[in-house]
Amino acid sequence: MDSITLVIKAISENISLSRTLVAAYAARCNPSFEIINDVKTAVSEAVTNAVIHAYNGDFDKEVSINAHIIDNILSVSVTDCGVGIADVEKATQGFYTTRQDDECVGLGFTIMKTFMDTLEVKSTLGTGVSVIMTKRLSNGKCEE
Amino acid sequence: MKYEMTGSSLLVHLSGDLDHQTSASLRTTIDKLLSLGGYSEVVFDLSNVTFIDSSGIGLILGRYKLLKSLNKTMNIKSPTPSVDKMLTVSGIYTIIRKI
Repeated sequence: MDSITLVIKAISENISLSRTLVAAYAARCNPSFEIINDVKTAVSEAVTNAVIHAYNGDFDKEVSINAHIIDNILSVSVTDCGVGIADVEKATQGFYTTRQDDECVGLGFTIMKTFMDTLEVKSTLGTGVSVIMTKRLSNGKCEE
Repeated sequence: MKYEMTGSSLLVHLSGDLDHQTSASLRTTIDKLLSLGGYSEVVFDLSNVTFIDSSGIGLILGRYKLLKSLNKTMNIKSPTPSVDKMLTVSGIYTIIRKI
């Protein structure tokens, strides 16, 4: 199975790179511009969460982004090994944020849910977070 | 970022991607501009914004709160379809008018 993996340092400069790379990978299935943009937005949210929250500003730590396509369905996972989320259910509710001082609006997970077909968040305190999202890219033939 | 005054209206043209990386420096630049005063209304022109995520939404909401505290009006102008979708999903149009 074909897949891509990108490992980045947890710095904001790498957020754009991450979403652009996944979008370029998804483009091989000829999705609409709207679908590509949905994927870009969701990946941006997941990677931004990791950059902001996972390592408490330790920019030397890493975030891993993996993507693969099976039967026209893109699956993206964004994984960090940071502090984790104490209450995933609470964290994935709209407008929940632990960083109001940074003008975080707490919409990251809501946007991921809205823009992708499925969203799964796995986390235990102290071991990091893994966000797994899927989206159907098109109904046509895809160069997987 | 570019801006122009038309009467008492301050038109701020934003461009490029509005994400976590770009929002921090934009916030400083915009707030410096807003602190100069001389306007009653601020319009953010988003016609050249190519991408926005929740960090960009936070930037816009933060400026809205700042302007509201100064008794100034804020509007959004000409978002692209993808930016418009994000603004709609985030609920921004319930408090900020699109013109």
